[in-house]
Amino acid sequence: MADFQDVSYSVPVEGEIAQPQVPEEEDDDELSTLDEPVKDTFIRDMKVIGSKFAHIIYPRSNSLLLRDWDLWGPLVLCVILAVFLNGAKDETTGGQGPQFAEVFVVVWVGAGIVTLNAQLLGGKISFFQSVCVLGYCILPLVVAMIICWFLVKIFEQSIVFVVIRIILVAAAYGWSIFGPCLITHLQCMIPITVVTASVAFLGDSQPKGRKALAVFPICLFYFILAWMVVTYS
Amino acid sequence: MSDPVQDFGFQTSPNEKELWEPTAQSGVTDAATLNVENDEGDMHTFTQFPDSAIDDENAETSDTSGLIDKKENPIWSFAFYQKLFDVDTNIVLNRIMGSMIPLPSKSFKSAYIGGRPDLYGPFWICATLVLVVGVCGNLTTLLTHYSDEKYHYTPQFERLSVAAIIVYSYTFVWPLLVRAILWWRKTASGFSVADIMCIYGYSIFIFIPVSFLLLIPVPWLDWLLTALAISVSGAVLLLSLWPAFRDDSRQIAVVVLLVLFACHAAMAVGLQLYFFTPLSISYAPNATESAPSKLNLDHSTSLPNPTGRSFEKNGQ
Repeated sequence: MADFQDVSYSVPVEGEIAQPQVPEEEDDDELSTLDEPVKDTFIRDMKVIGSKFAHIIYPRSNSLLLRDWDLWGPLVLCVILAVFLNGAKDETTGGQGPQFAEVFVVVWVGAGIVTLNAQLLGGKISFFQSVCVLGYCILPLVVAMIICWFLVKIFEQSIVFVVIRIILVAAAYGWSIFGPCLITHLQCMIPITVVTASVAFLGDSQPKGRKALAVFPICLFYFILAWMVVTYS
Repeated sequence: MSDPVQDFGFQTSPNEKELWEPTAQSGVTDAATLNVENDEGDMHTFTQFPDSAIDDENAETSDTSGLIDKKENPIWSFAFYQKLFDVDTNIVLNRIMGSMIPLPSKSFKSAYIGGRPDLYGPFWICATLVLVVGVCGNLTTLLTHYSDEKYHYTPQFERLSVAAIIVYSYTFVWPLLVRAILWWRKTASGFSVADIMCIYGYSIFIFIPVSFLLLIPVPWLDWLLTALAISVSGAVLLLSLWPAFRDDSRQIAVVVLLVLFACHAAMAVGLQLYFFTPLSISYAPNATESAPSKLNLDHSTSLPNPTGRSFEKNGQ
């Protein structure tokens, strides 16, 4: 059998059998959350949410914070709003303020519909990111409502009081909608299409000639919330 | 989840995009020449290629763009609704203007919709109307009792739900019925459900400004405004729907259109009665005072102890 030959090498076979070793590096960002105390995780997440809140109150040029969406902030805001507004009921007039569930539904379904509307109009935005931004932008209205709550506790009902309340809520309404415009303004210098808050966010993602169509429902959405806050008794 | 392209801040510039997706134009001009030599030694140089030879992906996109008008997307698909929201701001504003000016020569459908019905307008006009009617209805109650010292305002939030049910079912469910009538009479194939919803949705726009005017507490003016709004929007509605029934027998067409107009008027009058009629005084907090006197007037003979009755009433 000529095919099979005894092959012999004069040079002995050498080499490493072991697998090439990957230098062991601790990937802190990825793995450390597994064995860190719950407290640390909690505090870190709270910091992220807190920085987003700060971002809504005081829009800055570093507006990339809202890029990673989360729904914790909106949930907290929504629950505060719903708890405060819940259950104003007048037996004699039969009038009823919004109930907890109603506020909850208005906030989440409203944000969802506004987002869907923007997407249907051809906006290039992700669903949850938009819901996240819309949810965080409730913050000025929630703050206005808490102030109103203290005012109700302190002062008697009077016409001056009502006017102060209306001005306060109107300012918060404007803040919810147009405060984020500052962010867009700054964002214009950065060539990134992700813009971070309500009008700015949704408006910029729209094709030209449709911004007003996307912005109008946002105004409507915050208007219904503002109306709830201003009529809260 | 968020779109990775957006998350990482990538934005393909037009040039870059062209690199990846060459347009048909550049595909032709940049195409290498293909030389073919046949048996006789003649040489022919092809410089033009059929569309299918350029790029599969490219050909596909151009195909679908041609099909969009012909192929119906299924009702559960996103694209189906995207088509119905394919409007620009000025189109919507034009349609809103058109919905308030009834012209016999210019049907709203042919002049403004023209085969491209949208649901953006109807949906958000309804939402606005619900909100405006709810808020103005609350303000009406507030204004009526404003001089009353004891009146304590409570928002009537449940009225919003009522308004939403009335307005949305009138705009989005009622047209289904209208389309069913058309289908039953086998006339007017040119009217789709979306067309009719669009006509209905825009036709109720006029009630939004009228709702603000209804805050003026003058009853005859309120009724005049409502009648005006009903006749204007009703005229737009009937003029646009008339072509659908034109081919039918005259009597049926007239009867159906009258019924539609009556429903339109009923919806508007119902909204006005429910939201803009101030709550009767007997429900107000000062009922404790007014109720006994009222009872005194009504039942002075039959009721020996009116105060006892009034306590009963309060307890309810």
